Amino acid sequence: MPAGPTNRRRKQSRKLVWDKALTRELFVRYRVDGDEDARDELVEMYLNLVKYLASRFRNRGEPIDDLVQVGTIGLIKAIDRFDVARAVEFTTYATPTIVGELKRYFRDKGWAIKVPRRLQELSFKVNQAIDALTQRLQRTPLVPEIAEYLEVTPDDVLEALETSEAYNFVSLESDRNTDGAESFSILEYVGKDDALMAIVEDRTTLSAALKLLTPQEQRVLYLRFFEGLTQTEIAKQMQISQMQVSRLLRRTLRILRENLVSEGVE
Amino acid sequence: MTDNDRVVVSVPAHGEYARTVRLAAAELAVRAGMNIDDVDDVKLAVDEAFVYACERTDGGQVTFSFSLAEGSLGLLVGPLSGPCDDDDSTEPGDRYARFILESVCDEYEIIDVDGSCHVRLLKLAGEA
Repeated sequence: MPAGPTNRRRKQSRKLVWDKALTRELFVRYRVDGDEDARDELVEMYLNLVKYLASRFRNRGEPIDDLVQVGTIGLIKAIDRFDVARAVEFTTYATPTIVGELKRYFRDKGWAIKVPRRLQELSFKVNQAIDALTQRLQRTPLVPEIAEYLEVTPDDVLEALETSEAYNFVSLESDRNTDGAESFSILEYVGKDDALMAIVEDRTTLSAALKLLTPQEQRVLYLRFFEGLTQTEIAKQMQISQMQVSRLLRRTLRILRENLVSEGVE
Repeated sequence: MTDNDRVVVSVPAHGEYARTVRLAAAELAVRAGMNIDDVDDVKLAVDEAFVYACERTDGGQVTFSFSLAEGSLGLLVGPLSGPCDDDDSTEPGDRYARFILESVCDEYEIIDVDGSCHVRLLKLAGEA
């Protein structure tokens, strides 16, 4: 039998599985009645979508089961954020979230292993040099000043600054656990007419995206974009290094972009 | 470096090239005499401008034209498809880009250059 008709039939049967009316009913049960079983049913129902999307990444050397697991996290996020009142089909809404989660997985994994040891060490030294020079000069240092201090080239410093965001990813994840005691929430500071608020249509969307940030990340975001502090000023106030602030900001903006707007850059 | 040196980087409108442009921009910011805070702002701005441009380019190339002077780095990103009336845009992508770019740059605008839309940015060196 030719491939065409078979594919078409398969597509049709998938459509039947993703029954719109049933989806809607399940969402109502989950949202309105707080029925957790309905949420599980939704996950089950759309697992095929996750499997399909995960299979698009199958040639990248990761076990498909792991990819399905990562994609399922995206699916759950999508289920928790989907607004039934909107005239958008759930699959349309969920696809970018699931793909985003998969892409992030590859990106983070790639970053975590690619950085050569030489750069890791240099990155550590640059970090220390920034602190020492900020203290000595009483201002933010220039790249050539850091280079001179470490007896390396400015290009080396730039490379170390660029890659520092990469290899520290794992430690960022551990920050997530340790700063739980801090209770900063940027939502308390975001008013109705704020620029950040204006980006999204409703507070719920913003609130969902901000929930993905740690209190520390939210605070960095607030200090940089609402208080207008420089990275060095933020570092001083939060008692962390300028490089940490830089990493936190990059990561924060990436999360916001991916969850408020669309896919990001690598 | 003479005043207003021009450096032009043209890359395919794919996220994977953001790093290429980001590194070039960081190097130019250092040449312009910026401190590490400003260099980082330039990198953030390039990232955002890149995503914004990719969303508003129908495939093809995105061109980043840097103009370099002591204490300042100008950047023109384009060409972008669609209308040039950014201020009226209610697209989340447009508003998000505007929010970030206005925060990290000294000047930000959407302008018409030779009949097509471009993002124009200017970053001035702060304290040094």
